[in-house]
Parts: sequence; structure tokens; C-alpha cells
Amino acid sequence: MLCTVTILILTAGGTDSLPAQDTARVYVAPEVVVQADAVRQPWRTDRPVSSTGSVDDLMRCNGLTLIQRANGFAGEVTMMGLRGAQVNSTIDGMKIHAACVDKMDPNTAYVEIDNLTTMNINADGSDLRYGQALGGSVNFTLRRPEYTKPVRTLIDAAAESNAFLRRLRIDASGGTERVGLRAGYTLRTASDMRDGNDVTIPTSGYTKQNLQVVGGWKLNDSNEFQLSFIGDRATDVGYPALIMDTRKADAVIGALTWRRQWSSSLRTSAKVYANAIDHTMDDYDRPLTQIETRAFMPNMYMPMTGTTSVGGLLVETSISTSSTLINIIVDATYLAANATMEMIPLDTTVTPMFMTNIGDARIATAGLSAALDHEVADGLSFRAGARADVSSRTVRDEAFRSVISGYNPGVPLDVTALAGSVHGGLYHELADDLDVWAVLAYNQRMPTHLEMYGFWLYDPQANIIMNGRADLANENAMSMTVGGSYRQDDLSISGSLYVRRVGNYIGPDPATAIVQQGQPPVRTMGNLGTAMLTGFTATAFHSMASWFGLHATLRGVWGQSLAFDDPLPLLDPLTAMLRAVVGDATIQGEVAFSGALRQSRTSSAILPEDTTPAWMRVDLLIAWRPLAALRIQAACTNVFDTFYHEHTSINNMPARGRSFNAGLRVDL
Amino acid sequence: MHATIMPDMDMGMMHHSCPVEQPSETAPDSSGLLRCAAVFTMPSATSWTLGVTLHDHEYDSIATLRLRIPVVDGYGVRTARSANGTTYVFTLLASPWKVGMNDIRFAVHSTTDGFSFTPVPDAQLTFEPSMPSMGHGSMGNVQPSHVGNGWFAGRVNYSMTGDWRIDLIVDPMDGATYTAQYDFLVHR
Repeated sequence: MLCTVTILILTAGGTDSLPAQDTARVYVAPEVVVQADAVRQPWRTDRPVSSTGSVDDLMRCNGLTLIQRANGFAGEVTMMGLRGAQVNSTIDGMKIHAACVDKMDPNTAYVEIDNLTTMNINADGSDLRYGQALGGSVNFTLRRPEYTKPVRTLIDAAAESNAFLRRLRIDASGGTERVGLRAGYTLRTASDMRDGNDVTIPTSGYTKQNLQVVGGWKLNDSNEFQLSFIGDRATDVGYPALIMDTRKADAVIGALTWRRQWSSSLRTSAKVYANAIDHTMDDYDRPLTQIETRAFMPNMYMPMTGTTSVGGLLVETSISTSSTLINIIVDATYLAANATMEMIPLDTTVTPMFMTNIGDARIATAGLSAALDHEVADGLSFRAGARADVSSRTVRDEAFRSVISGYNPGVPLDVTALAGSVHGGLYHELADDLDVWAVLAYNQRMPTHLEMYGFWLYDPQANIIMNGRADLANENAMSMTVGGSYRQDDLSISGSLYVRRVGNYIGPDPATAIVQQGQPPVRTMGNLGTAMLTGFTATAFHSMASWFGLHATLRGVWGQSLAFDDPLPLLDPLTAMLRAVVGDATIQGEVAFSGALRQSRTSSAILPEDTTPAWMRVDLLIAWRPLAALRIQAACTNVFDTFYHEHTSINNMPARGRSFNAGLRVDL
Repeated sequence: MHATIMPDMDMGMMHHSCPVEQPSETAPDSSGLLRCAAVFTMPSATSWTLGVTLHDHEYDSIATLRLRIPVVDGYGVRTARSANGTTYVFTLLASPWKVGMNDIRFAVHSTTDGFSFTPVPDAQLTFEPSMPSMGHGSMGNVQPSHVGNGWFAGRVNYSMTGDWRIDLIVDPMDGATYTAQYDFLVHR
């Protein structure tokens, strides 16, 4: 369900008396999947089958498509054909920018599933709270401290046969009436994974550690301060689909939030946050033959370093009356980004080289967002919103400025950009159990610092080198989404259709390609005219008995660049999932079928790709909760050891083969 | 007063000179120097001498001296010989190259006797920077145009540090084209 969905991730752990930042929008969401019965919302349904899972598994489990470059790690969100900066991905409203220019580290790589309480997904262009994109947004809400709770410790350990993936989570929380504390540590480590052909994929292991500490202080019943910190370190992360691996990626994410409930109808929150990511990667673990024969810059090692630092301020105000909710957000960020690459030739007579890929880019952005939800009449709501951003953009490294000025002569590097988005929608309750809605949205997004200033960035799937261009126009989209849902106690069906016309589509411009013998073509980013995206999502849940339920989803997307008469790249084909959940509050089982049709509509001009065969996999799970404080879980993923890859798997990196896993969760 | 210089290389069986730019001033500058230039076409620790003639117009006196000067190896001078016996000297003015856009200057001189070198202002020059170890060049380069006295000025973009090469094609309007190659290092 990709219209506007908030998914409650963990039921373990309490909720807070003061609202989360998401709360205002959860209120207006057409569908809020928070259910109580054991089958429809059991204590593990919205967790991935794999007990060793990551945020990637969570997103996949909930209908998002991921562009995969590694072993179940650091997947890049796509939804309804939108990807990259077309989807605004935030953590508690905070912007965390990837430091790796090769997209190894989307911001979801720096949080753990255990850090989160909700994942809020929107794809109809109506979520403008934390930034402007082309209509897609994903916001993860971080776990918060628990007040008035005795100290509680949770230990969750799991292991998996494939890649010997191990996961350990230790979580402690508790609080008095006024002070709440939570600390959680997650360790995940894996060796090289095995695919469905029983072939071990080299350089696909990783180790990842994550520490979250959050403290809350209720000054009184209407004032709360919260200080949160996440430290994340990933080491030796293999990226089989790419030409390099992460040696070390460190993220430090901190925020101070003040929440104030002024009255029953007025509340605010103000958050000051900062985060810094330091990412280093290299190809030292790759075999010499691969170094010597690869298409891009052969015969040399090329360690790269990328850093991003973000400072931000987020002020949210919500005002509600019996029939109206108004949400106003001020959102300001400052980004500093650098990326460099060394080139160390195998031939020691050749001098080592050094290149700057991002030369101290500085992006300062301020935005104002307002949303209105008004009940026009009984059963009829009107929702509208708008957002405007202004952004100052530059690069400071003088040598880098000089280099890229040569590549784009006459293009100013210091840019002030404006962007505006607006949406409106009608939500009508036709009957007690039948709702319909329609949303019309116009969205803009400003180009990213990589699209503007990136230099010599390699796309290993398309095998092209990309250079940025600072005078890119905003990408924009006009979209129409219509949907409906039918809900009864034992049956819910919902679906939506959308059509989106994208203007000034941003991509590496094929017309700028410079081909040099023995090298991948070099392209400059450009606005590639108009593109169309259309598709649908449908989901159904049928609780056939108190102990048995079926859950099915189906989604499809079609995209075409009109300017190049070329299918848009990285669009997943018709994809379906069917889950059967059995059990009660003590023991539950699940069998999940998921698969996709063959994708033969492939891009040949914008980002060349190949076709992907159809695939299907089956996952099994059984979970037993003999005591309220104890959960034992065992699963087998990819039961039939199917060899496949998703269409959005870069360079056709295969999915994991069959894996048995077992886990234990103790709540003390 | 004015001064002239005359480089000379003693190769044993023969002598030759090289392109020069004579001092244009009639009095030393504030540093006490008369500025001139010579493009030494080959290295030698002992074979080059620089003949200097000073003519004091006020007293109509002439003084000469001969200086032995060592010339170290460099990358900036290439020569080519035409079918009709003309020798061309193609000079890339060495610079402290840096990453990014750089001014680049070439000189083209010709001689038929090895002693008298004349600028070739009508020559057409094109150059291409590349990194042989990487297999790529760079973009944004500005091809050189004549700026006077046989010198040609353009712009070159070095996108990274490392070993760079400039391939120069010269058409001196004698019915043939000539190529020259310069290899050097761009530092961080």
C-alpha cells in the first residue's frame, strides 16, 4: 500500500504521551496500519521474516523496491518508479546525506530496524513535510525513551546459515515520570553470501555496529526535551555489484528536540540536529585480474573518501480544531560534502594520482511547508498543502571549481535555487466501510549536489562516467492518484492508480556522451525532457479465521522517457506477494510467496540495462512465544534455493540463496 | 644602452644557437636586470655558452662577454625538420601546473641555419591533453592563438594530479604538419 501508509514496526516498547513528529500526519493518513488482532497485526507481522534482517528487509516487506548493490544492506529506496532524489528519505525528519558518490550508503544504511518505531511511506506527492521530491517520501521515526516504566532489557540474538549472518541486539530502557532513557546496540556481521546456484559471492560480507542512545526529560506535562544520538560503524562491507567495497563508514547522528503542547489544539516541536558521515572505500580486496580487466580505470587501485556533514533545524507546529488540522513546518539544513579519489597504478613507474569528485559542496536550504486537513462535510475531507524552498549552492574548492568550470564553460557554479510544490486531495467516505480518494499534486525537486557538482562518477551498471552540471533546472512532476479502500472486520481491500508526468527529468544526458577508446563514455547530467510514470498498487487482507489470514499485494509500474522514446531505467516489473499467516498470540507461522514477472522493458539510452527473468521465492517462518518475555523464531528464506535477481539489482547481483535462521528474543 | 644575447652550443663538429628574445629595454628594470629569454634546445652541462654584447650608446662603447651556462634537461622543447630543410622549435613554456584550468603557452620558431631563429606567427596550433595511464583527456581546453613574437596562448584543464601528456599539432603553413609531445607531472 503505497499511498500514505504508516507502519508500526515494533509493538514491544511503549508509546509516549506526547506525540511523535509523525503524529500529525498519521492523523491524516488515509490508511494507518495499526491493528490489534493477532493475525492481522501480530507481534511480528511487519517485521521481516529473517530475524537477522535490516531496514532493507523492512522496506521490502512493506512494498518498497530497493536498488540493491550489496548483500541485504544499504538498498536504495524506489517507489512507483521514483528513485534517488525523487524520493525524499528522512530519519525522524532529519536529512542525512550519503557520503559515498557510488551510492553505497543511502541514509537507511545508518539506522537499524531496532532504532525505529514507524516507517511512513507516501507516494502521491502529498507529503511535503521534510523536503521536496517528485512525490515519494519515506520517513522513519526513531524510537523514543520510555517514561514511567521500570528498567527493561531486551536481548535479541539470531543467526543465519547463509553467509553465517549473525545479529545481536541489546536494548535497555526505562524511566521515571519525568525522565526516560533508552540505549540500544546492534551488531550484525556476515561472511560472503551464497546465491541460489550455491555459488559464493566474493566480497559480499560485512560487519555493522549501531548504537542508539536517547534520553528524554519531561519538564512538565506539556514540555519535553529529548536528546538522541546514533553512532553507526560499518566495516569491510562488500559490494559485489560495484567495483569497490566499503572499508569503513562512520555515521554520527545527533538531535535535540523540544516538544511543547501549548493546548489541546496547539503543539509544536523544534529539533536541532547534526550528522556527519565519513565513508572510505577501496578495491584492495578485489582480485588482481579484476583490477586489470575492469572497464573503468583498469590497472590501478582507487581508494575513495567521502564525507558529508549536515546541520538542520526543524520546527513543526500543528493546530487542530474539531474539523481542521493545520500543520506548519520550517525546515532548514546546511550540507557540506566532499569526495576524493586516489589512483594508485599497478605499474609503479606511473605516478599515483589524485582526483576530487566533490570539491567542498555547500548547500544551504530553507523551506516552509503548510498542510491543511479539513472535514468539509460528514465523510468528506479536503487536504491540501504547499511547500517552498530556497537553496544556496556552491562549491568552495578552488581547484575543483576550476576543473568543472572547464567541463561546463560558462555555467555558473554559485546557484540560488527555488522550488515549490503543491497538492490537494479529496477523501470521501462513501459508506462505513468504503473510502475513495483522489490527490492531485505538483512537485518539484532541486538537483542534488551530486547532480550539480559531481565529477567523474561511475555508474557500473550503465558503464558510464557522469559529470554534474550546476545549472540543471528543477525536476518536476504533475501527478494524479486515485484510490479506494474497502474495510470490514475480516477483509480489507485497497488500491490506488497513479499517473505522473515528469518534466525536466534529470539524468546523464546521452546526447553529451563523449566516447574515448577503451574507456566508458563520459556523460554530463542534463534535463532530459518529459517522462511518464504510471502504475498501480493493490493490497488485500482476508482474515479467514481467528487463526488464519491471507495478505496479498500487487504492484506494477510503467515508465517512459518521451524525449528519448526509451523506457525509464530501474523499474521493477509486475510484482506480487502473498502471505499466509497462521497462529495466535503464542505461536505463529507464515509462508510468503513473492515474485515478479520478467522485465523486458529496459532502458537503452538513459541508463542502459538488460532484461530480467521472472522469479518467485518462498519464505517460511515459525515463531513461538511461550512466555510474554520470550520469543523463539526460526525461518527458512528462499526455501527452494531459487537463483534470481530483481530487476533493480545492480549488475544483476543475485539474491541470497536458501538460508535457515533462528533467533531468540528475551525481554527482561 | 642595449644588450643582445647569442647562445651557442659547441657540439664539437658543429655549433648552433637557439631561439632568443633579446632584451627590449634600454635600461635595467627596478631589479637592475635586462630581461631576455632563450629556448635551449638540448641539455648540456658544459656545451652551452651565452654571448652577451652590451652597447653603450652614450659612449659608443661595446663590451662583450661569454658565459658558460649549464642547461638541465626539461620537457618543454621539441624540434622538427621540414622537407625543405627548415628546422622548427616548438616550445611549451613550463609552468608550475596545478589541478584545474591553467594558462598554457607555446612558442614556434624556425631556422634554416641553426643560428637565426625567427618566430612563426602564422602557425596554427592545436593541442590535446591526456593521461596515458588513464586513457582519458580533459574538457574545457582553449586552443592557443598567437599573442605576439611567435608565442601562442591558450588554456588547459588538468582534472587530477599525475602524469599528463600534451600532444601538439603545428601547421606552420609550409604544406606540412608537425607533432610534438610533452610529458610532465601535475602536482596536488
